Amino acid sequence: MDTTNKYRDSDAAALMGQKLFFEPRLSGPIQEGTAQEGQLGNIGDKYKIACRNCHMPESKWLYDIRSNNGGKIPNATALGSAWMTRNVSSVVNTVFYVHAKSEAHWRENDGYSDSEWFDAQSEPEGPPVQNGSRLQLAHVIFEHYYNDYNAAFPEWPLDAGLADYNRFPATGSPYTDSANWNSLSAGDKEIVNRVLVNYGKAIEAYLRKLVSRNAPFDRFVAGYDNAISKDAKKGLKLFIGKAGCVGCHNTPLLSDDDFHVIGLHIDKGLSPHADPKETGRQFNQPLICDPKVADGDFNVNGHFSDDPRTQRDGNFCKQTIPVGQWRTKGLRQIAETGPYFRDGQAATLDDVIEFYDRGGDPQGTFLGGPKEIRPLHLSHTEKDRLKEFLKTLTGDPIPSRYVQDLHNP
Amino acid sequence: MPRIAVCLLLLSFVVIVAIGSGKLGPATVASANVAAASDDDHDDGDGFSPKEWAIIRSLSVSTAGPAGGHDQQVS
Repeated sequence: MDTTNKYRDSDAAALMGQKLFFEPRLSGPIQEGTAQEGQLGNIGDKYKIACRNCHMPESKWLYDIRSNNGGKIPNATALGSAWMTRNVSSVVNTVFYVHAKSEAHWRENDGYSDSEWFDAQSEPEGPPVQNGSRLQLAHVIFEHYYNDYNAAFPEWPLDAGLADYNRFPATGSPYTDSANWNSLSAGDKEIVNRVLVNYGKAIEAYLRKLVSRNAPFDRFVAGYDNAISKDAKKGLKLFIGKAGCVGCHNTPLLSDDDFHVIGLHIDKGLSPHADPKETGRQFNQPLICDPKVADGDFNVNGHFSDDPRTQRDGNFCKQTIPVGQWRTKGLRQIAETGPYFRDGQAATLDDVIEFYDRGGDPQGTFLGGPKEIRPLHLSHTEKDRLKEFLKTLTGDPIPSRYVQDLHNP
Repeated sequence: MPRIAVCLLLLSFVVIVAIGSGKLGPATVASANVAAASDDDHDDGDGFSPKEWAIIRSLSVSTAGPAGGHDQQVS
């Protein structure tokens, strides 16, 4: 239960979130990419990129089947306003990412944020993502979603001052057009930040609708013995036994929502836009813990949280985070959402299983360590069985009403 | 005495038939499967021990997972 977002189960907030998930006017100028690579417009074009363009309904599981970086593996990393270093994850079932012990809600491969709403609000103004800004977002919502917003967030009606472009410039955030942003008074920054936060909370309410259930594995556990094959059962036994997958891939999402060093060498030959120098979880500690970085106390203990006294982050902000730690990926519908790993370097589940079977890449070829995995020495048959089990984790499709483009004119 | 002997003989017969049909001794059969299935590439057994079942249930939305449906509360 995400107590930090009291609108999480509001139908009005979810509807607004769905509309804005498909809203391209939140995006700024395109910076990189060609039509052949999947880019949605020319360099400099605005209003082309919505959430739905990387988390694509056409893909069934809302992940990326569009960007092609010219390398060996299509869709290895995402193409937003610019090329990104990471593979696009499916957003289906992501609301279930909860740390198994602390109940923290870490998000993204690197633990970018500590709540779904904080994560969601970062996308419109992320320079390589949508390259928009929180001022632009506030204007779009004021001009096109006024009634939706006020219905979803009656305690926070939109400020009429947002109609004044002299007082609130058209664009600006701490990251882009920062001079515009910094020209605002503290009170006006608060007005815009509140709209930004509520945008994130609406997106979270929408994502909570994107749930897939009834996977063959779940039917098997419920008592339908024939729901999965004999090989899949043997693969399950390996998963919880010899292969040791369950050590990190646990809970019903098959992720502990925790951070580990698996020893993944980032090979730019396989994934040209990946960055071997990324440090993982460590990088995000200032963003989450220092209000000055994002110019707002957006973490779960800040004043935008609906449960600021929550203890779910523990003493994260006082910890020394080592480099090279990355979050465990959930495995629901994993067989249908490749390529794999944070940089999309593995085209198939076979490649992933081979990686774990060899105990990861050699020490010194990746940041951080020591590795937390060891060679498994699985036979060919065992690898096939493990894959058969992973195929049983795909559930029913998302109801079509939740993947319709309803964005306002 | 002959009556007792006949009764014992009949009882033995019933027990043998019951075991053969799987009506008795499921725990024995199940545990044999688990022991044989572990790490054995060529075994056809697919049973799970109680400890394994406890782990398996913790991975499933059907028993220990997030409650509710598409429009209900999730954790």
